[in-house]
Amino acid sequence: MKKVLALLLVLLMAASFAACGQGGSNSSTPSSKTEDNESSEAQDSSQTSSEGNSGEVVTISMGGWGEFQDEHEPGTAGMEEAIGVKVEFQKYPTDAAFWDNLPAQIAAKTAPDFISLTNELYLPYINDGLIVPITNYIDDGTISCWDMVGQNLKDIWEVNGEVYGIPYRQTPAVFAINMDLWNEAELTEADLPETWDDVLDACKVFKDKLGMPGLCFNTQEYHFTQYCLSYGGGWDLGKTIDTPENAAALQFVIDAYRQGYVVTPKELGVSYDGNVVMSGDAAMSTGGTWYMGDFRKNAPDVQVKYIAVPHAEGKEDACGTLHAPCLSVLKGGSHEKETAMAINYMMMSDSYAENLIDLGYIPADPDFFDEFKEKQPELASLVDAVPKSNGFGYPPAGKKFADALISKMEEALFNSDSTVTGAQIVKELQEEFGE
Amino acid sequence: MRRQEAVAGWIFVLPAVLFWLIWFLYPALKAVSISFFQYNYATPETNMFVGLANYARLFQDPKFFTALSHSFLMVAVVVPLQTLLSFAVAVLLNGPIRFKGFYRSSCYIPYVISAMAVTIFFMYFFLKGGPASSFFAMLGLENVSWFASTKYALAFLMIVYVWQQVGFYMVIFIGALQEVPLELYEAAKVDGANAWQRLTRITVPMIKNTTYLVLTFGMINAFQIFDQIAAMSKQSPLGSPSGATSTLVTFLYQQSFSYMDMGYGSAAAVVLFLIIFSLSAVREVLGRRSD
Repeated sequence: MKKVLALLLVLLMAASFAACGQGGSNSSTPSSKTEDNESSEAQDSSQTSSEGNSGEVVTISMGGWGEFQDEHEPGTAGMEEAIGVKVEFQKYPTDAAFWDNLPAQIAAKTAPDFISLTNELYLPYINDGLIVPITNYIDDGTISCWDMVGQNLKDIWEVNGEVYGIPYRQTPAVFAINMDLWNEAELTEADLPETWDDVLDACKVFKDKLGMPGLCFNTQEYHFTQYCLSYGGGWDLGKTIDTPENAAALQFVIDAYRQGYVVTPKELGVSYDGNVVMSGDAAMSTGGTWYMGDFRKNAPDVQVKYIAVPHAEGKEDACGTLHAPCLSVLKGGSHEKETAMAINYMMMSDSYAENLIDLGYIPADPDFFDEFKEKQPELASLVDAVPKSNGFGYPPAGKKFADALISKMEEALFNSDSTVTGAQIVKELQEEFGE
Repeated sequence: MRRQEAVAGWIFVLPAVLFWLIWFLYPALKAVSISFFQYNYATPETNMFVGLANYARLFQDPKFFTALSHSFLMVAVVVPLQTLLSFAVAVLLNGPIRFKGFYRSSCYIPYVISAMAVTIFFMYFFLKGGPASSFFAMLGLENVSWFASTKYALAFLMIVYVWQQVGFYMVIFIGALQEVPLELYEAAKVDGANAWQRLTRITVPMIKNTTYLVLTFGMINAFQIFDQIAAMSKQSPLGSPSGATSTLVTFLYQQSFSYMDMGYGSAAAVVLFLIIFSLSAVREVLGRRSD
């Protein structure tokens, strides 16, 4: 009896291993990269994909987070019939999860075929070879949309003579004001700030009349950079970290915070500055045009005014950043050519650009500028801010630099005994990350 | 017959052994080997052997020492605290009280709730002007959002962690308490021992092995705390604010995954393993000596 039982168990075990092995061999089938990814939402339908050689539809995946599918899906309409490529969307819970998982997924060949990459912390990914240059696809005509892109965007995405992505929109930073609170504080349109001193004056009014901080400051590198650039500073890839302009910009934030004019999302237990403005915990914040979609969806009754990022006294030409995300091909994909075709198809699609306009984004193609101004009158002035706006210019260390900047500013803001100054912070950053 | 039994035994344990080899031993050895390389798994062609350079770098990195000191502080505060609390709760809930099952379940529930959810829930208590912050402000502390303060963030983390863990260790202690023979207490009572004496002279020595187990588990888990820190940091760097809650695990995660410096992160992981291993060994030796 024991022998029979043992034999049965052995057989059962062998069967289990065989079953496991079967799954493994399926997942390693060449050219079925999307099938490998168990976390992909596209897994089920990808079983029939990746049959490009036999003339069937090739399925590729695009990775992103947040509302990225709403942004990109209209560009894929009709793609399957037109070029035989189907795009499926692989959503990550947060941008941090996206960036933290991506290298491992690339190594395991389970990463999406292409992604939307912003021009913020992109250099390390390019330098590490995670992004595939697409210059050859531009040269051979697979990607023809490159010519439509404005020169300012081309300059961002052409690195060391190679093109690493096709920018699809451009977004100058904005300064958002909750007009309900603005009016409640008896401030008028004439009081709308042009300089940071004006912002400080408005903050004093908010503190005196409503007993609340007027300005929301999110302790993220994006927002620090707006202040530095609008003070006439900036990082210039690590060449100009320790400058009086950057020191003054950071000191402005520190002083305003210590005087009680500023609240940070972190203290309120949230991560997004837009939430603070929506909830009325502060009236003003640096942000982006993504506020528009968020406010429409989550706080449609709140009146918001979007203006250019204020500048420091005497720095009238200074402006904030230019967000120029692009569609980039990731390393390790088995359908590089089809991915390039898909990117080109999306970029050539009018419905893609029009959807971006509806979401409040300025398309990369200057031909759509007038349509943007017409459809988004409250953001029309941003089109004029495009030429003045700057790339982020973070040092090549990318995220390491961003984390160090945040950490030092958190020490200055969130330690009530801190005497750290803006000048000390930029000096230390220059020593560590300066080029 | 013996040989046959041995073969059958090996066949029975084979799945577990294979599982252990593939999912525990191999990754552990791989981590040790990676720690000697400048290693980026996305660009394997650039990987190169650097010997002990990652370790040398580690011991010159002030951020590593900050993380290390926070890890030790966590263990030093959290482990005794959660052990004492869980023991006290277990003793109370092992006595003759009504609704025992309800109280036991209530204490255990925090342990099965997601650490992220618990942390976010606690954050609203410790907001500036929130109930907990206001209470502590009356005792002379600053009325700030604790999780965003470089002074209080670590204390906040400890409070959340202990609150969540106590229920688990309480269950272990209750199990041990129920194994103590009642005759011992009855005999002690006859001899005139009071409740405190019965607790310290009978209960504590009788559940000594369980206490060692709780201390070891507690120490290992406290060294590996991560979820609560991730929830507190949100989109800021792990260990935010300003590294006030960074620990060895957040340090190695950041190096390995955020900065793609897998060799350096693995070196930190090896150091963490050695620390946990050494402390566990010391505890084991001390435990045996006291036996």
